[in-house]
Amino acid sequence: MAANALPAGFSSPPAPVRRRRHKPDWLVAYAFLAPAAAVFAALIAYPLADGISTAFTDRAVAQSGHWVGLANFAALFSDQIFLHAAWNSLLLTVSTVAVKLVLGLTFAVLLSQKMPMRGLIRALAFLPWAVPGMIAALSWKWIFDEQSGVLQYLVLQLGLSDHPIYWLSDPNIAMVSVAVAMIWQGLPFFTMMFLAALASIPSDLHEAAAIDGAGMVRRFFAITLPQMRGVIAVTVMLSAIWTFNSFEMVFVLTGGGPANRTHILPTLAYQYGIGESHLGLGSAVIVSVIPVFIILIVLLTGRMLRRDEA
Amino acid sequence: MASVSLSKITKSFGGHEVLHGIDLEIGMGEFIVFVGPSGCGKSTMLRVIAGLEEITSGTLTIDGEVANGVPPGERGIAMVFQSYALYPHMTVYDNMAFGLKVSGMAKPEIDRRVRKAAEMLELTPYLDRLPRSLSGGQRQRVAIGRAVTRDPKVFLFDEPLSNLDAALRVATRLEIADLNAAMPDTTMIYVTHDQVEAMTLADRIVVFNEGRIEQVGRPLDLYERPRNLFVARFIGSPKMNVVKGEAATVYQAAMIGIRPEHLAVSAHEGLWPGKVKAIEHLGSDTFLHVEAAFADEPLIVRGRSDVPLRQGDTVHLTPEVGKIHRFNEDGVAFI
Repeated sequence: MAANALPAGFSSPPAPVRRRRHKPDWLVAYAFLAPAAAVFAALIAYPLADGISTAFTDRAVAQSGHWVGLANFAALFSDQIFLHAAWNSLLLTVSTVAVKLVLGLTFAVLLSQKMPMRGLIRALAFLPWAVPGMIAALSWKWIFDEQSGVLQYLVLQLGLSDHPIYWLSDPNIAMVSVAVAMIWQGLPFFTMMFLAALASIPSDLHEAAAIDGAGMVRRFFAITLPQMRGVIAVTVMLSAIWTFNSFEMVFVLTGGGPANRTHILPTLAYQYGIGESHLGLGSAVIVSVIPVFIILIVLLTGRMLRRDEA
Repeated sequence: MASVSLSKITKSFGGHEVLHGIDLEIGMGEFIVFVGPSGCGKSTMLRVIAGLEEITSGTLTIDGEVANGVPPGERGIAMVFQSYALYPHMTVYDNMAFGLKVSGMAKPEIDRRVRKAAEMLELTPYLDRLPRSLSGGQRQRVAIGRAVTRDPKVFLFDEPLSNLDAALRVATRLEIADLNAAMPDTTMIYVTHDQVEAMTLADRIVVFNEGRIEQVGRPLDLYERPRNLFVARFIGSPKMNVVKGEAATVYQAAMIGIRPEHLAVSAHEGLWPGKVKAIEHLGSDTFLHVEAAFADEPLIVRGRSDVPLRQGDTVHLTPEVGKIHRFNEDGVAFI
């Protein structure tokens, strides 16, 4: 009798079933991807490639231009206006995103509480998000107007200052004014994202923490904030990209002035590329920050696609 | 260890009252199970005891102290939730240590308690894991461990086995019974809609219905001596057969109840003739659903698997003498 023979009455286990392997059908996959790839190539890849290649030429409006290598970049990195605009972009992005983060969290927590007319208050809080950027910028230009603006009127009438404040023409105040307008415009996005994140936290986690003896503040920092970490990261990175790229608010409010002191990179690119007809130099302004964006986008998509954060 | 006393407790949501003056005394170290159908108020009662819902009126006393308005964290209670409610971003260790950290306990003592509870619940290998990498049964054990580490006066369980599959439910039920044996001084209040859990775990069962207590008693007392028709039909599976009309009048009652195991079945002779409508073979048991002319719904009978019966066969049923429960028109049992 063989060593592995079974006692009488037992049958041998069935042989393992061989699974047939299917070949991946690459051709069909590519056929389905082709329309989307064509749209991507025409609307995104080509303009991007053209923009990048322009940065290495002396192209001007209505002129094809010649290859100049890194000359545009060399010019930019010795240009004080460019360096100042890069600093402004960074400062504006970091400061406005930080303020929007803190205010957005605060508003979201307040708006998540039960209160009368909560729906109406939420709708009003989200309103700035629905206003087109150019309309919002023009409205703020009127608010900040140094002759007839409502802010000037209020400050003088309430006696907060005995002299007019130059909201947009004083270089020390203009960036703050721009930041205020940008915070107003971007805050609803933060509030909305955080409200949704708050609503998705199961209430029994708070109840378990309450039974564990944690008070409101402890619960916020130990339960609520960690549960919102993913949403906070995505919101901050998206907002950072949008703020860094934003154009119309600075363009309408200050146009980069006075004396180029409030330029950010997009407005400077516009000034060099369109205003002064140096398309190559204008493109170089934007191309110079592409590596920063690539890092941000890699971080963002990495965060969004990381399954274990779900 | 603590006693819990509920005196005339009511709870309303808006204008809708869901608990109507609950009175109950729970002794130190007792294992009490609240049972009842969905929406009967049993979970609300537990949440009121936990402090997660405010009391509308009445007095709650824990360990001799009035607990109305006392925050949940200061009641000396711990709770195991149906959904486990584990903190997803914390490891098993941190989940079990959180309440102790909040209380300001020294780290060595926290470590000692967490490791002791982990050992008791066989969670030691998983202490560094996040809840999402654990199975349902392991998560429920962590939830129990989190409660155990706090050494509560009163242990509350809110349908803790509902999210587990049948096999795990049995295993975890036995673990909870072991836990109760290991903590004989801790008062435990357990909410379930599963009367098997209630029968197997409870020292006493409290049957809730529409925000009121129908009956309080030891499991077998409730099974053998239900105070009314609701308790009679809720406790026991399959549920008690109820017969009205002439068949009940013979026993001088408006309704009579007979449990499936108290009906003898014969192919040839018996008190009540009927036709087999369905047969359920469960392996250990066989249940016959018998349609009888005098009964509104089929009578369920625990039959014998070795008696060859088929759907459509005529059978005769005879209730066991002394096992008939008699009820008046209002469903109240004659004692």
